[in-house]
Amino acid sequence: MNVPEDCKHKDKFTKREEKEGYECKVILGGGVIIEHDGCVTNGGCDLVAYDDNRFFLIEIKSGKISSKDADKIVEQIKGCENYYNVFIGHRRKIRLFLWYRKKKKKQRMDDQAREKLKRNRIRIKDCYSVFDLRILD
Amino acid sequence: MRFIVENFGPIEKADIRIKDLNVFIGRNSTGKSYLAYLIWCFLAVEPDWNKLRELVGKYVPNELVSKIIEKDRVLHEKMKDKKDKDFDFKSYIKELDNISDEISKRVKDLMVEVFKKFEEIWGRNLEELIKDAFMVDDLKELIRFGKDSAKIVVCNDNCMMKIYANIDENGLTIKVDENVIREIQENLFITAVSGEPIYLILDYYKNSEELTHHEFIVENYQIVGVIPIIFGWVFDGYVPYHSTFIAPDGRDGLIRSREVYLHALLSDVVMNEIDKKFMRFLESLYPKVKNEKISEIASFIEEKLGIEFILQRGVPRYVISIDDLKIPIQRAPSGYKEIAPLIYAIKFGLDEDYTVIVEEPEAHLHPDAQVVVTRALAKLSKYANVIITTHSITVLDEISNLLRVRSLSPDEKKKLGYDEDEGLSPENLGIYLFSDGKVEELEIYEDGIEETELDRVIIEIANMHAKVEEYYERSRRLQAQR
Repeated sequence: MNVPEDCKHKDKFTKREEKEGYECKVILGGGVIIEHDGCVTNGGCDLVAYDDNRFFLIEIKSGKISSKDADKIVEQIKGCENYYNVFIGHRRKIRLFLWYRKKKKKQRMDDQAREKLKRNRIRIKDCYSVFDLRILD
Repeated sequence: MRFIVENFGPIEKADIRIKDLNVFIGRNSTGKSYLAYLIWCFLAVEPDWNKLRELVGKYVPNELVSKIIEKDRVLHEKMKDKKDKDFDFKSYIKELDNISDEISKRVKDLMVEVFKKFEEIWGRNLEELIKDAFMVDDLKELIRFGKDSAKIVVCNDNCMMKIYANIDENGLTIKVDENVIREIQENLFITAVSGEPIYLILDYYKNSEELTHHEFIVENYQIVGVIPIIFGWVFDGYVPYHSTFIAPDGRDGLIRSREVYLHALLSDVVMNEIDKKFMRFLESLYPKVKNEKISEIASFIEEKLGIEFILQRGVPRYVISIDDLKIPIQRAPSGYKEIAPLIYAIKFGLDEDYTVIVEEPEAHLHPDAQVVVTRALAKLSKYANVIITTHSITVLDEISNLLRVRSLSPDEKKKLGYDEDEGLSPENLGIYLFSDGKVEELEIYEDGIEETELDRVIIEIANMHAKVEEYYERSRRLQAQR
């Protein structure tokens, strides 16, 4: 995959089937997960992951999600999306926001935030500690 | 006031503490309306007036009240006159005091007896009211499937003072807890002061410490006015035969077929008691404002929606005016038919301390009208206890919004189009999620509410839309590549 050589965070890029380090551990059996850590697109999403059929653009966040947070999530996912557009090819592009939560109870998402994510076709999924991308069809 | 309900209809367990604004949410058939109707029955139930009159007559007979009034009149005449040198003021006043003490004691005994005889006075009417409200011939039809009995506890906020109700194959039994009797005997102090009419002073040391005080004047049977006051004090607002307004679902249909229902009311055709009470309330309205402040809430809705709801003395009685076009309510757009009863009630019928129950206030309304009605209900909750059931994310969003609005300055509110009095505080709001027989109270924060099942459903629907978009996008891309 075309990861820029001059990326200042290049050392932090990892390619593996599981990505740890986030409070929300992401699993993708048989695929590749790349941690971005704010690189590639001067911001960009937290992770991209892909297998033969799907290409995931993932942003992870915890706590309350305000309207501003939603703008940021949209911007970061879009950043990655533009960058990887050519590489995505025949794969299905899945924009994904993983909402990390430590406990079951949490405040509802701000309606503006929810609408923004919805409008940008970003899926919203909860992540308690582990999120298995394989469950997303 | 609080209602704890077990094994009633679809509900396995519910514990509802009534706050200013109470919102019941959950999927269809989870018991929201069941619980709202049950609460309404407990609030709206009338006493058996004959039994109550008999009891009042026994404890505080009219003769005793007339006697003290007469004696007080004589005393005042003698005091004015001052000619009767032989009149023994001292012993006369003492006699008056004795009668006053007697009345004070008897009013307190009456209260104790009212609680002891709760089942006799209210029980049978409550049983019939529940049957009529739920349209069942046998109360056991309302017991949760697989259970032998349903239990309902009506109590004060900390649930120290309780009324137990039980529904089983023998029907309804209801009993006031011994604690309540003890509480009345130990912590309620009644002082009657002679005069015409008699002056009654009520002092109640809630939890043996916090003093609640009330004074009022009574004549003869007006002594029954003590009963709701004491009920309200002991049960933190719960009073049987309380002022209520219930707006059931399907208001549009009820209004459209208004004449049919009026005919049914007059012909005593079997009809759901909730619909009956609703129609009666609506028909009893008179074009005269009962409470200015509450009525202003109706004006708020009218102004925001650009529509006027007119109540006339002649026919047609209910007319809506849109852009100077006047339409009888039966022909009004469905959304307006749905909210018309609520607006008429707010405008002409409601007063402070009512309990207002509205099923799905959002029905047939465009989202912007849903927002207006939600804001109006939040305003109303400052004067009355409001209970709503809803499936609307817009209603829930606006409630979340109103929690934030509360902390804005008057200028900021004005800038955003909110009135100065708008906003909700967490302590005055209760949101209950009905699911799988359980009723869970959601957390309310200063700036929003806990995520609900409704939010999760909305997100899942959005996820499904996103998924469709993903497939669509890929198919378009592949087509372009070919």
